[in-house]
Amino acid sequence: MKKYWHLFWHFRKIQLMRMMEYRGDFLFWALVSVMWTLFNFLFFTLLFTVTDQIAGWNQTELYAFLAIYTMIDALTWSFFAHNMWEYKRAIYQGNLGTILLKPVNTIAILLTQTNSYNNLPRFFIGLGVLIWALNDLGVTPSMGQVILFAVFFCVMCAFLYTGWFFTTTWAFWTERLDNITEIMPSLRSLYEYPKQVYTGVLAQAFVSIFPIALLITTPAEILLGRFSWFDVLYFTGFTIAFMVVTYHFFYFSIKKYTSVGN
Amino acid sequence: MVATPLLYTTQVLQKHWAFLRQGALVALEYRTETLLWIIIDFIPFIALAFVWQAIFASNPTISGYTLGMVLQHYLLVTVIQRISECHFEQFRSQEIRDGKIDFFLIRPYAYVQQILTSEISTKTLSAIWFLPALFAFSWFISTFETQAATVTANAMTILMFIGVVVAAYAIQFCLSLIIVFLTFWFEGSSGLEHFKWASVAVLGGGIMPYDLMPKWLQGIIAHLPFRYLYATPIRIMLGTYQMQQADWINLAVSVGALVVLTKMLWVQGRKKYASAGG
Repeated sequence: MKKYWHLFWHFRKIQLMRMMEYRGDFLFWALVSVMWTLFNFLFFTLLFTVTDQIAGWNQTELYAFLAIYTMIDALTWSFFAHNMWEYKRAIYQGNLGTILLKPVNTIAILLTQTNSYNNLPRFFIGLGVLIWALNDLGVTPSMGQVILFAVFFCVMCAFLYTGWFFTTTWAFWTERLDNITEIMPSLRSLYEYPKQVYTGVLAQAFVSIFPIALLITTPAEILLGRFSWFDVLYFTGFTIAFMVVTYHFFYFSIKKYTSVGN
Repeated sequence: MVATPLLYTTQVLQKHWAFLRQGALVALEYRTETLLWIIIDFIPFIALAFVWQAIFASNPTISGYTLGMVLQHYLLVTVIQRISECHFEQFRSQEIRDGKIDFFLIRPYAYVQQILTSEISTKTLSAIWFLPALFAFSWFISTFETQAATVTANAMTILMFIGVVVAAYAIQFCLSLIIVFLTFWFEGSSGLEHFKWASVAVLGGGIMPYDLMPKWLQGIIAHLPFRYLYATPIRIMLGTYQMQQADWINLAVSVGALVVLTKMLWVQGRKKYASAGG
């Protein structure tokens, strides 16, 4: 475990050095990521010019919701996306062999080998807005709520990263599908809004069968003090099962891998 | 032998046809990818349909709009998006950065022409996948309990809609080319596409119906040509707007100015271009 901890931070250090090398690039992309954050907040603000609540959420509550979305989105584009793009490239270009031969767990390398710091400002914008929104609502979460939120935030990350890894692993089964890594980002639209907006069959699909609509709703409800333990436990259980299935799917799929020369 | 005008025209058409076919073959090669893009493009609109349903749950009409009209707005956004949006910035910028456009500088087929024919082929072929997806989405929004919106789509309205959407494509195409040609000066210019997407979404009026936007935003949009990208064609189809002579002049001036700017950047950019071994 110590080896992996050391390796994880070593990768971060390499990426930090790379970022320092291309400082202009970092600043530009950080600006792009901040622009998208402002865009999301603008869209919600525009929606609230025609209504005073959406599915039982008022404007400030939805800002708190969007703040959590922004924080997870920052991690998505800083970490999950970059590693999965690298993973997909390795499969299609036949470079995975070099990772398979290393004396460390393949999945650990694939999940941690790279990252970007461009979206880091978004995380802090999200955190700042979350604190502001809770303060504006007059909500002071208890220590228990904060701990539960922190734990659930890790579960959210695990769920999303497993989703990315699962969809990217399908690359072993396809001849050439470059946008396979776009499936998970496209699903962001589904968890960008509270679960209460969904009705009918799709509500069942997004809340019960593949509970992606719970992703942001549950932690936001934890902080607002109106969460359901069933949602928390169901989502956590689902995530663990999803991780197990994905782990086996990876080792099953890797048998399809072929490459020459490395 | 002296080339007659007819022979010349035939040769030109043959050349364009060959490039169109080549573009179609490339598009066919990546058919699964195209299909996946189409499905992915519909997902945000599915979520938005639910959001607007929740908004209209407490108000049957907002500023004269019903849920049906808002959903029709997004249905039209998907159609216009498929026709007019361009996404070649990254790939083409990479081509210039890697010094891979020598071929087009020494052959009698311009780089911009090649981009255009490739775009047209891809868009035409992707329609095969897009139409069933569009029908599926139409069926999906018809499952919402909506008050039917009145659409007065007579032949004139449809012609006006097509005219504006074609002009919208010209604007988007030029904006994408400007981003690509800026690569001659700035390495990371393809990142500007993000600013283009965000500007088009907000100022183009695709993000939400123009009439539901706050007055301050409507004021900004009314002074920019971006409104012809989504807001104007959609309002034409929904029968809430009629194109005026001033609109056509604005549109023509905007497209003309963008074409001139694109041409200038291409001419100046080529002087900055360098490659080895291509």
